Amino acid sequence: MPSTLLTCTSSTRPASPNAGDTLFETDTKKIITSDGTHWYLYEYDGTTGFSNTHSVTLDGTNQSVELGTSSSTLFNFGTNDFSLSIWYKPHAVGNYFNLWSGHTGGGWLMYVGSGGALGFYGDNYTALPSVGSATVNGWNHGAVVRTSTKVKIYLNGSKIVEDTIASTAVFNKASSNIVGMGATGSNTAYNGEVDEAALWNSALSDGGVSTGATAGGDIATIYNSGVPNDISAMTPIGWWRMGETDSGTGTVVTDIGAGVGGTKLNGALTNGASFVTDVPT
Amino acid sequence: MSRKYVIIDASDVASINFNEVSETSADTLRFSTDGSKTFVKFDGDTPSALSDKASYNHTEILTILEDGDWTSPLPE
Repeated sequence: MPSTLLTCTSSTRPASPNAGDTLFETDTKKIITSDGTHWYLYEYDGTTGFSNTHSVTLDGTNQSVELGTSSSTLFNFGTNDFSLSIWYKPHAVGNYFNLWSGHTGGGWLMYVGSGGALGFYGDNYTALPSVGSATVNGWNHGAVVRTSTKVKIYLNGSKIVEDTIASTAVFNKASSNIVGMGATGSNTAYNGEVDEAALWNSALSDGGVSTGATAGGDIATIYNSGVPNDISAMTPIGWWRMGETDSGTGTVVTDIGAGVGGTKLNGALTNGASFVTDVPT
Repeated sequence: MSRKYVIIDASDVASINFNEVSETSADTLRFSTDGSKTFVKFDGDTPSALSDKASYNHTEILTILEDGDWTSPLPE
């Protein structure tokens, strides 16, 4: 005869549990059990479903999700291929709003531009493409892919720009700069929510689409008609889910990517940035 | 209770109790482009170190931060 666990959410866990209390958290899909003092969380194995329940909100002044320290080298791409993917819900758009940045004057910068355009800047790269029009106060998906001689930008599942670059073009974070979503650098801080940020040290595929067309391949899998998808099979080297793996509490944003050489890079909610339950649906 | 933002001189950072504001630490503060000013935010009671300073709401601080004193964006 089946038994049914009591349920709660991550915000309604019993405050004074008894040893052995076990519940199912409906928002995180975790089984939680207590030793009378602490809760122990058991993740589902990923084969029964993928859920997205949290994002991070940034206030546009100085809040960010910081990734690593100034000595971290994960975001020094050099001349190698790389891909960045992030879901974002801007509350405002303007001149170089720092969405995902390793930028302080130099370095690289994924930004929301005037009119909601999405662009990418690099130290050694002056074309500065910024096109498209993201939905303000609505969820969008942005991706940047660098192959040897191309920078491609995707907005909401479509390739919006492809630019030719030198194969020697270097994309490194600015010296001594900490990478983050919303980090201010020398530009305007990003104001809005971010979710499901992921990084690859390879170029994601797009089915070979022309600029302006709906992408296929990896980009289509990630965009998934506007709803974040389980990308674990695509083995990002960095994947910051923005709350799901941290129960939507605290200030750590756990990196569940494959890492580089076994090293993962957890993020930190900085200056009061917080988890919220507003997600792309 | 609404969140408040207060601009302070960089030389006053040492007087801030980071348990009373939302900023993580002195290392994560955002400074003006000339490095002379920064700001902190708080909910609830005004920290004593900020009691004699002007406070702003979110909309007001965003307007202030758009100024060239706080950002030096690339030309778009």
